[in-house]
Amino acid sequence: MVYLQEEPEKRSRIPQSALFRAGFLLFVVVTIFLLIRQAAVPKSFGQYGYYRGDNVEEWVSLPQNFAQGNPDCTTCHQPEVLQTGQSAHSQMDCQSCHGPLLTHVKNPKQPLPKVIGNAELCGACHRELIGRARDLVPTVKLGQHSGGLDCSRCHDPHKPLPTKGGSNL
Amino acid sequence: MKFTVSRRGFLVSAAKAVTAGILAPVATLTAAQNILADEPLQTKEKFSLWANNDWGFAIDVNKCIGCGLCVKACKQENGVPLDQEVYRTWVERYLKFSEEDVRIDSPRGGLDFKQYDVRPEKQFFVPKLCNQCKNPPCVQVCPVGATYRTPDGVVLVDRKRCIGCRYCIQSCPYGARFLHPVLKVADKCTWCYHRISKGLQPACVEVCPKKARKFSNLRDPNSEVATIRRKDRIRLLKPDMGTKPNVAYIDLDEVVK
Repeated sequence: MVYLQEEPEKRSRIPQSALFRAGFLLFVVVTIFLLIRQAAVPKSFGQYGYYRGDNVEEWVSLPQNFAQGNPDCTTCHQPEVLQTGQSAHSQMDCQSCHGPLLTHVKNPKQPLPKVIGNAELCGACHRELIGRARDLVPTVKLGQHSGGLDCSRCHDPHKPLPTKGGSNL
Repeated sequence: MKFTVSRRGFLVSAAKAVTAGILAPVATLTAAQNILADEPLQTKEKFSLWANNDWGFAIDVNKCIGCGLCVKACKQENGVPLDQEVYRTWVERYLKFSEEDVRIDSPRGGLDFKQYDVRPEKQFFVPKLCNQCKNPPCVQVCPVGATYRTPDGVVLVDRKRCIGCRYCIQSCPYGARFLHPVLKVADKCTWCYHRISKGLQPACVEVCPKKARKFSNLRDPNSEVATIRRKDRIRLLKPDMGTKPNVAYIDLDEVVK
C-alpha cells in the first residue's frame, strides 16, 4: 500500500527549469522555421492567390514580335492594304505572309523581311491537300500548275484574281 | 531549493509553453509581413487588368484550311524554336473512313501535311491549343505553385518558379503543355497574354487567313465569341473530364476528342 502511493508522486516530479528549456527550444525552432520561410517564399507569393503575383506583370510585359496588323500597316502602305482589302485576300493580315513585323513598324528603315512569293509560301494555303475544302480556298496541284516557278511571276498576292487563269500579266 | 510540479501542473505549463513558443514568433513576423493571412481573395479588384476582362476563344472548324500559318506565327511570337517538335498550338487532320476507322495526323504540328490518294467519307482540320480550363488539372498538380489561372481566364506558368518536373504536362488531358527545349520549364499557350492585355489579338488569330480562329472579351455580350457561344452549335473538348474547357468549337465532329 505504501509503495503504491509513493511511486506515482515521485515519477511526476519534473524540474521547472526543464520546462523553460523545452519552451525556449520550441521558440527557437519555430522562429528559425518562420525566418527561413520568409526568406524562401517570394514576396508577391499569395498576393492574388497561390502563386507569385509579380509573374502576371512579367507575362504582360513580354516583348511582341507581331504588330497590331493591318491598322499599323495602313499608316505607310495604304494603297496595298486597300487593294488587298478589296480582293479575295481581304480577310488576311499583312503578317500572314510577310511574317512578324513589329521591328519594321517601330523602325521603318529596317529592311522588310523579304517575302519570296514562291510555291512554298502560297502553297501553304493553295496546294491541293486532302482535307482542304475547295470551296474555302482555290487549290492547285503545285507541280502541274507552275512546274515549280514562283507564283508571283503570274499572280499578284495583293490583287489575286479569284478564278482560274488569274493572271495579271 | 528544488522546484517540483505535479502531473496536472506540468501539462498545463507545457501547453502554455507550446502556445507561447509558437505564437510569439508568429505574432512578431506576421506584424512585419502578413504571411499567414487567409483573407478572401477579391483578385479581380486587386489588379486593374482583370477588372474588365473575361477572355474567350472559339474555333470554326468549317473554315480551317490547314495552312499552318497559326502554328508558325505562334512559335515566332512566343519564342518557341521552329525546328523543335513542341507546339503551343497545332493543327490536326482527321480523315474519317468510317465510325471505327478515323486516321489523325499532325506532321510538324500541321506545317507539313502530305497529300494522300485516299477518299475518306469525311475530312477536316482541327486546330488545337490550350483550353484555359476553369478547373485546370495542371494547376492542381503543380508542387511549387508555379502555375495558376488568372481571374480573366488564362492559365499561366511562372518561369522563375517552375522546376521542370513535368507533372503538369502529364496531367493535361489535351496535351497542351510541353517542356520548353531552351528554357527547360513547362510552357503552354497563353492566348498571347502579352498581346491580349494590351488590347491586341493573339498571334494565331491575327494571321489566320480564313478567320477560323476567333478571340474576344466575353464581357461584351455582342462580341464575336460571346455571340458564338450563345447562338452556335458549339462543342467543348472532353467535357466529361470536368476540366471546364474554355475553347468553343463550332460544328465539331463527334470523333474529335
